[in-house]
Amino acid sequence: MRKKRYAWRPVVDVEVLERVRESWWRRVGPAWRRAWLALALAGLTLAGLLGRRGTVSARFAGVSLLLLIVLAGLRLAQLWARQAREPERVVRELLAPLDHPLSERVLRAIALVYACELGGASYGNPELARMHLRALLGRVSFEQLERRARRRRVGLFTAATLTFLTTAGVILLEPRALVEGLNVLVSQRGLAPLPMTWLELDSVSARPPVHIRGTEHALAFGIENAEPEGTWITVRGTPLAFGRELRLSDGTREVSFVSDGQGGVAAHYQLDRSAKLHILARFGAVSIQQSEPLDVKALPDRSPIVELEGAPRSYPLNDLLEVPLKWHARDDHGLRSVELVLESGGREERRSLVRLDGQTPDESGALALPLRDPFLRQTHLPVSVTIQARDDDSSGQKWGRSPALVLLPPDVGEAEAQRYALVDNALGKLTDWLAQELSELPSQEQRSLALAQLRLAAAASPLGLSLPREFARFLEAQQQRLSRLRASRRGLAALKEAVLAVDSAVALLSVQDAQKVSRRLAEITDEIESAARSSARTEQRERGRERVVLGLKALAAGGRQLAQLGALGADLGTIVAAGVARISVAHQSGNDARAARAAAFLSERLRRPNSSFSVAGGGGRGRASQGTRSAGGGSSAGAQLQRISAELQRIASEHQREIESVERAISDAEKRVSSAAVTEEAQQRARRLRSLVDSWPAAGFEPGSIRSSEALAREQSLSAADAMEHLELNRALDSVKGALSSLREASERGRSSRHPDDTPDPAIVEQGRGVLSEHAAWLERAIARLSVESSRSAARQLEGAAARERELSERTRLITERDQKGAGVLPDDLRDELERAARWMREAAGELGAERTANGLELQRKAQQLIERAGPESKSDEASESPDARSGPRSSLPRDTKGSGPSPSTGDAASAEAFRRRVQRGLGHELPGPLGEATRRYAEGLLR
Amino acid sequence: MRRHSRLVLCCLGLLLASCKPGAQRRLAALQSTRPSSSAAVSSGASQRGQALGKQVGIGFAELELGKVRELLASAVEGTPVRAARAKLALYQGDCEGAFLSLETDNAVRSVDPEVAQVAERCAKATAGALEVPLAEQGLWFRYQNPSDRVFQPLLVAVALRALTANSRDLGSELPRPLRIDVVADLASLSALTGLPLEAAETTGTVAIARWGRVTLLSPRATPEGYPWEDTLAHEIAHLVITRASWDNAPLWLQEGLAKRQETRWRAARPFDGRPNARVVAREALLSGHSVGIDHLGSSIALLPSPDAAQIAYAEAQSFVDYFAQQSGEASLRLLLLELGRGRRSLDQAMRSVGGYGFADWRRRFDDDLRRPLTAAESGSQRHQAALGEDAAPSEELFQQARLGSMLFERGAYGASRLPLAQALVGAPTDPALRWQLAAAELASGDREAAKTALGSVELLSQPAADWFVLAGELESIGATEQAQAWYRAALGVAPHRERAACRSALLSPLGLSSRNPPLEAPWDSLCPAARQSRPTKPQETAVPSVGSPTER
Repeated sequence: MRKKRYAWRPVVDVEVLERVRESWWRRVGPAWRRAWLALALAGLTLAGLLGRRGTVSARFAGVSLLLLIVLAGLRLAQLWARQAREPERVVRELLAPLDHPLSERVLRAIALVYACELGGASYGNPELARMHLRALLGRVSFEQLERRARRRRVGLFTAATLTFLTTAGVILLEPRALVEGLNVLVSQRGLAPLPMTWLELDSVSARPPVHIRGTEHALAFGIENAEPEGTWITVRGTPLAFGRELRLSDGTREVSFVSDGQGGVAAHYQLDRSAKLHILARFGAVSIQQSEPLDVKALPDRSPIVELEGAPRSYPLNDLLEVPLKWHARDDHGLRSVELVLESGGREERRSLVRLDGQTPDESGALALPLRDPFLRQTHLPVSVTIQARDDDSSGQKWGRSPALVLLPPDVGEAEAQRYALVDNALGKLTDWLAQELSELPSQEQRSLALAQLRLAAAASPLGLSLPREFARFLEAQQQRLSRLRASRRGLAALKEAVLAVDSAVALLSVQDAQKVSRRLAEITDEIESAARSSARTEQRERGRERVVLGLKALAAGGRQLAQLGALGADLGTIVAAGVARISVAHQSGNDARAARAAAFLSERLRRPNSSFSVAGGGGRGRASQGTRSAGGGSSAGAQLQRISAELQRIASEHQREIESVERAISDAEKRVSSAAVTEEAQQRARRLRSLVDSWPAAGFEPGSIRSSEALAREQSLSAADAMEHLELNRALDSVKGALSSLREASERGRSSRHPDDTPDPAIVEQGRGVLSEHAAWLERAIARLSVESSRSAARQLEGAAARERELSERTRLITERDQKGAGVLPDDLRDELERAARWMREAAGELGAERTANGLELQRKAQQLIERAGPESKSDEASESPDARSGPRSSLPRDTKGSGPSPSTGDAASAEAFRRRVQRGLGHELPGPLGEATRRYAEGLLR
Repeated sequence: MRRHSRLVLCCLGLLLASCKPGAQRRLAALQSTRPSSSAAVSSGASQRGQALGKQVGIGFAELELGKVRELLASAVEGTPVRAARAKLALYQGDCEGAFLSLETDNAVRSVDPEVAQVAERCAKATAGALEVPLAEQGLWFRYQNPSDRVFQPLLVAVALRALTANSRDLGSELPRPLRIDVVADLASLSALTGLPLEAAETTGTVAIARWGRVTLLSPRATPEGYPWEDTLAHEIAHLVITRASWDNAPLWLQEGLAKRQETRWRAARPFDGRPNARVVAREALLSGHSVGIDHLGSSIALLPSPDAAQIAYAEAQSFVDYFAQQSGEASLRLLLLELGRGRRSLDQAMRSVGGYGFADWRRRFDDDLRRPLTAAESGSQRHQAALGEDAAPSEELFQQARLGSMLFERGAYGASRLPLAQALVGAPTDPALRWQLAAAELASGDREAAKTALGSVELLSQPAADWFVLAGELESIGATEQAQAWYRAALGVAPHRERAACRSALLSPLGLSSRNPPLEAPWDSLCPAARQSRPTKPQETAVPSVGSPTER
């Protein structure tokens, strides 16, 4: 067997050498093994401690150390194996330390054996060489070898023991550290393979988000938990080992455990999506998880769902007087607010419908959006109406949006075109009547038709657009005048005059309407320009292009209506059609800037609504046929109508100023004549009144109760005192009378009360009535005295006012007189009213001249009312004359806080809001019974 | 650097010198502000710049836009070159290109604010407009209102014939394409040309030849149309004169020649020579209302009134006629040549061609105006006076006319006859009254009475399409060619009107049918277009009382 080991070499006598090797390793081998094991343990421990740092370099160092230990063991085994194979190694490594010269000689003898064996006879006899070698090996001292082996064994054993003890000490000091370290060393993708327990769990709790208003509750490991998004999860426990960086992780997000101040640790985690939460310890880039995760499913807070009855749908506004909006909003947790959102073109308006506390998961309501709503009136583009609801999620606003109701407003100018058609038709019928008369044919039918059509035209309001007041009255007057006509030569002349008068008025109307419609179309063109400019910006391109298309549709439709409004309308309609074509071409070619330029030019043109071709000054000689359909061209009636309207407007405004000047004169005079005695007396009375009511009940009692009446009397008395202090005696008297009335009311309630305890306080009612009556009497006397004195003091001003009043009265009278003699453009009832106004103004002048200012002022005010009613519409009337305006009050739908208007006090707002909610909730339900619909309308009226 | 700036400055100077006297002054002021040290700069570059600027200026005057483009392509980049490019874009009808190049170029805007302003307004007015290049005919149209394209066959025919006539009479041919903008209203005319809108409205301007283009108001813009054919020929003549004289012809020569040329492209028509220019000029001179051909200002469109404009036109035309009469027809061509290529002053040119300087010619002309009128002129004066008798109709006349018109429009032809006839007594030259009365008579079956009511064209104060159409119908028996001439005359005034474009439109309501064939191609599209553009009356609808949503 041994020979075989050296088979590749010439045979040497190795028995001695083999004995040497065996003797050595028999003694030293076990010591080496122990030493290596001790070293391996130490290396492993060190590698673990290094790896526990978790960094890449530390882990690399740990692994390298382990590899080194393994390599060392392998090297030892290799040494042993090579000694067995190579006799020279045994000589050099084992014999040489014992006897170096001998070992040298042995080596040379071995070499000689090899040479003789391999080189042949020329090197010598192999046998002799072997004998020489044997002789040399026979000198080896086994005693020395064993002594040396023993020494080595002891050394190795000592070293191994020391190493082992040290390593064991380290391990015993922190036994988890070695496991952690080795765990970290063998981690993959930042996660150690061996789960470890880090915390002794005390509690795991969940606190839902505030807006959900849930209570804190426990969660459990090992089962699937379900919690709302935003829930705070708290894990508390006692760490099993200190100095670890403990965390709670969902795989991507980690929160640290911090001390809870009671010896434990806690981690707070906000749930934003479903997660398996692991407790882990972090070692650098590596974590070691605790065995069981906390499985939590996140329940998302969904956006509110809003339903709007009938949506999605389009409504042409022509067919509506109001848009009923019945809505229902729900949320998985609770609603915070509900808003009505109106969008048109680039405009958006939000109006708060309901403000809630965030706990109501379900809310419904109804309202009516009137056609006169300012937003609808001011837009000419389709209006998208949605109801949007917001939940109470504080982490981010979640809006739910209902499908949209799209309101398609009437074409711009549609109402004007229909109105024009009506009056033009009336004119046509009148002309037919005239044709019959001129042809001396029976004309009764044409006469009836014409008069009926005139009546209809004067009264009609297509799409809510009635005729301007003066124009309607003019038609009415013509109708009355013509209805009195008899068949005669004068009658025919009057009919001709009426035809021409109506013709010129119709022409005037068409020009005014065409100009108005043109300006409205300019607004649409502005919107198109704005949309085209915004679509030039990439992020708004699609929206901008949609707006352009909508605008073009509205513009084209409006242009068609405009073209029906007489000659100017036809001319401007052509311009609009051409403009629409140019904008469309530019838009379709994708050149938004060009489309914007085309729109800008059209807008500029439409804001200057003149004929396409006009020559200032008439362009030379006139032609008889040029009177065709020109405003006032064929008749003086149009001009007369304009004159009367202008004159009435002037009189109304001058008369109003006159009234104000009389009031001012009286007021100034009152201040002048107020003697020191009256002032002193008023002050004293005010103080007495205050002290009297000081003990009366204050506000806050149930409405309708005796106490509330007493409280009201107190407030009115205080108001009277305040007025007396400021010498506003009329106001003081009103307040005192009001207080007396309240006390009377309290007294009556007391009498009708069934509860003996519910009676008025006699000290208040009886005493108060006495004192207040006395104050009232004094105030009346003082006012009368002051009035007389102030009238005397202002006598000169009143004299002037009376003269001016007479002049205004005369001017008013002249209007009616001239109209009666002239074309008769005023209807009979209006003429009567103006005559009455003139009479009252005359009487007012007389009263003012006689220093009876109160009567004079009263008459003046009555006359002013009549004049204003007869005069042309004011600017505000004109605004309401726009096609979308309707009679009745404007919408008072609740607006956002940005909206203008009076704001009630906080308490009032809260109660109003509660009331609104009750009504809206009620409207959201079906109302049974025959009066259900009427009730709904009443309730909607309340909301408005 | 200095050398470069000097070159640019010279280029600018010459460019502006070719544009306006005001620009010359600005240039002088600008040059005077240059530091004196710049005088030391090499004169070679300066001369090159001057030469280039001069060539560019001549290129614009001759309307040789291709040549200008080449010159600018080889020029040194700078503010004046950019300004010239913008101007070239305007000449080529590319208002948007001019506007975009100037939008952010404040230097150029300050150098030539007028170009910048016109470019901006023109770019707005023509954005999305319909451009129709006709390479074969050498014409280029742009319609602000796409519906006006229907007039294109008429426009092409007139433009080509006017070009031929002007080339023949003035000895110069316009480079092609000839660009014609047809605009929808006076505001657009003002935007495309730079003429103030107020001025256009004051004088009733309907077309302008500027920026190397003709800008023509669409006949659709005026309710009853206007003689747009002669107007187009007039403006084309302006361009030819500008080219022939290198834009050196004074305004009176420009306008006088253009007025002379505006009817020479076609056969004579009824209203030609009315009013007689010499008679108008003579009356103005004798009454002290003369404007004076050398006091026309920068444009007739800027005169204070339409009457002043009419006198100015008459004076300019009669002076040019007088000059041509005295010096021979060819003298006009020679005069333009002397002013242009000859580079003579006006006085020198007139002396060279006609033997006298301008002042002498002016004196001779005034003397000629003072001589008694010829028999034909006297007749014209009397006719004009007769036409002017109903110049100021009374209110009663208006009322009768309006009543008659209303009854006529309602189809009450019998009833309309009396008021129309009464109105006609007071206004016998009113064409509308005449044709309405004639049509009413025709409806009653009295053809002779209709002819009497219609009268002859000499009785009319101005052309009217409806009158022409009815005249065509009444003369159609055995006189089809004459009838066609009347129809063409109607189209020459109001091609957009249904009564002019559709043969049956006027007669159908009378219960009659036209005896003439309908218009042939390419004019056959006029009738459907006229019908389409007729405004429809709104339907009378019941007023809704209670609304309920309905789905659209």
